Amino acid sequence: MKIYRVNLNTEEVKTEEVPESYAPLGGRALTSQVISDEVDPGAHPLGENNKLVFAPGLLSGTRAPSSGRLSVGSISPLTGGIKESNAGGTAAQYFGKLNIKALIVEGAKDDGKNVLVVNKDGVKLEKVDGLKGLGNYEAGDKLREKYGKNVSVMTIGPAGEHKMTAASIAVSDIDKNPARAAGRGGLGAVMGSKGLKAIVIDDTDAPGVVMHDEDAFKKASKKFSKIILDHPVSGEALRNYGTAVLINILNEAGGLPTKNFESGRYDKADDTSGETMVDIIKKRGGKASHSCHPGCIMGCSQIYNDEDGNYFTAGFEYETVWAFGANCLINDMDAIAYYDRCCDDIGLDTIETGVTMGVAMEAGIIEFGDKDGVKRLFDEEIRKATPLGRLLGSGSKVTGQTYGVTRVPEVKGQGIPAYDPRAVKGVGVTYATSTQGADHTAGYSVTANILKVGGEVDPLKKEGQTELSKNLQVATAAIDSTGLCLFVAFAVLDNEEAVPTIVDMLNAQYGISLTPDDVTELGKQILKVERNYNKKLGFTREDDRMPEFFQKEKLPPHDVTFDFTDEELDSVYQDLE
Amino acid sequence: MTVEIRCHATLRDYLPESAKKGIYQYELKGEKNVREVANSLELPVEELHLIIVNGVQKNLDAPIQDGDRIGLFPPVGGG
Repeated sequence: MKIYRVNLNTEEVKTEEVPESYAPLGGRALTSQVISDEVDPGAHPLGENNKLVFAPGLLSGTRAPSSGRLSVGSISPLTGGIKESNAGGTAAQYFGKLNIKALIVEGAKDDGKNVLVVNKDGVKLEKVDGLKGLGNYEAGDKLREKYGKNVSVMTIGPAGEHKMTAASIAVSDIDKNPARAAGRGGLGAVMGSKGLKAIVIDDTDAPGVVMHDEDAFKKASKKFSKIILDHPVSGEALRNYGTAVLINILNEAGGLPTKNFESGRYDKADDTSGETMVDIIKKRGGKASHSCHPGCIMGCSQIYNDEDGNYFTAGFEYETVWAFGANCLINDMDAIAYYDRCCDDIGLDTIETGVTMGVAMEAGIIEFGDKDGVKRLFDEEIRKATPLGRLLGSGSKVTGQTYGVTRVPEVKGQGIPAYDPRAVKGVGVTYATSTQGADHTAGYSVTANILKVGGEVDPLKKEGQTELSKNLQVATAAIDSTGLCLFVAFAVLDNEEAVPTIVDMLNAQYGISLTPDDVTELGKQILKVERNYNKKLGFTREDDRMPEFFQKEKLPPHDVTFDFTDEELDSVYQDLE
Repeated sequence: MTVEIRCHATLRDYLPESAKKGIYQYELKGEKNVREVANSLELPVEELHLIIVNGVQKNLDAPIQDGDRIGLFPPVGGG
């Protein structure tokens, strides 16, 4: 395997052997290690000394089920901390098949013409005219026209080009739509700061992953597929209603953040539920189940058509539906689909942007429930990068600060996702303590708190939450390094054969002899690297806190607050530093 | 004595046609817990993975009373 290093200042591309110490690392383990090893903590996130690292997971490119997740690492311009932003789509499998361990992008040149072309011969920097300012849909079409219809395309839209700190990096899905993204943390702005508009990956005649023991791998991956498919969530539920099935559950449990986290219940929640979405999709001839990357067997994504039955958007997630729905008091599925498409096309994180809209409503920029107002903010402000548009594109914290809003749901500058931390306390601990800023995927305690997966921990009480969050943060860091979709965790948490089977796959592929304990150790090691690097960037324990209003305001219907002491929150990382 | 049954995902198909969007006002006929209500409504008890009574996770044997809101879900997930 090779590491490719591109410097946009010198326009040089170097091919490097993988250092021995990096051999056992992939995905998040590798991106975080490279950032920690190579980026001076004094580097401005949008300056030439920050780096952007793309790494497929250890299993990406193989036949392992749902193993096509990509990690993108950097210093985040949104949080100011280390960031691993995780994306589906086609890129990771292509990188894996091309035997690319990592692609490191350095330097900074405001150009807008730079395209990295990755294929069996290596990586080349090309200048492509006519891309600057294009949305992700059009940019992808142009690049496929030039480089072939089956290439994987990663692009930034206008938000990234304008270095808005909620900007994402779009990754094309199997239908060539830019509906998958490294969304969180504003890494699209980092790519924009480097003057890099696109990365095109062509896997034609790719050598494929080198397999130490093909038969053993086949056996283990087959077993792992069965483990995933046998679980009622990963085997069936995800493909029936997508992730938005959670709208009604969180609403019932009183943890669906409504009206910028004022209540845990939304009286019109069902208008935006997974059930309603699937009804609309079926009526219009879309697809209720869709895989975002080749080899995915869970199919939680979907294709959402417009009223005329034409493709409109894809990958219409719970988080997105919530952020613009209950959070903004908007109960119109087509309006939310429009915002989802805007985010995909302009290149914005849907969570950060939806949370920001809630803050904008709190600030009085528009009223809660004003669906036309949100549309106008996308079309007339953000897309055109007006001063207000840039402000909104910079996320919840900046918007709240600018308008003097005290109720801003963010931790470390990153907007809080779709589970209220007061009524789903385990995930609240994750929001507060994660190295990534508020991030539900970093330690998804919703499993045991709400879904009765991997045990049961009362979501309204503090007992057991810090331990639950910690264990999940460790496990997640490890999974994020394999390239496996985090949704395998539903089966992994309930089936004790799952982790040993993942280990069997890794051992068969690399000819090593890991044990399940080594996987846990890897997770811990990643968190330590990230935590210690964040310290160098100036973070302290005081940054692991929830905004004041969550501690003071009682959330209906349960009338609960976020009531963890500083000591309780600090216990999560006490032996991970 | 009525309870509000809220069936979601695949469980909606088991409710009478009149139950709009999976919400059904059920007049109790002496049932004392969730299991008895589920049986009366011929809901597939083995698929009732999440039972949320007035916003709180319960099990099939949870007692019920007039005005309760009972959310029922099969195994589901997301994120």
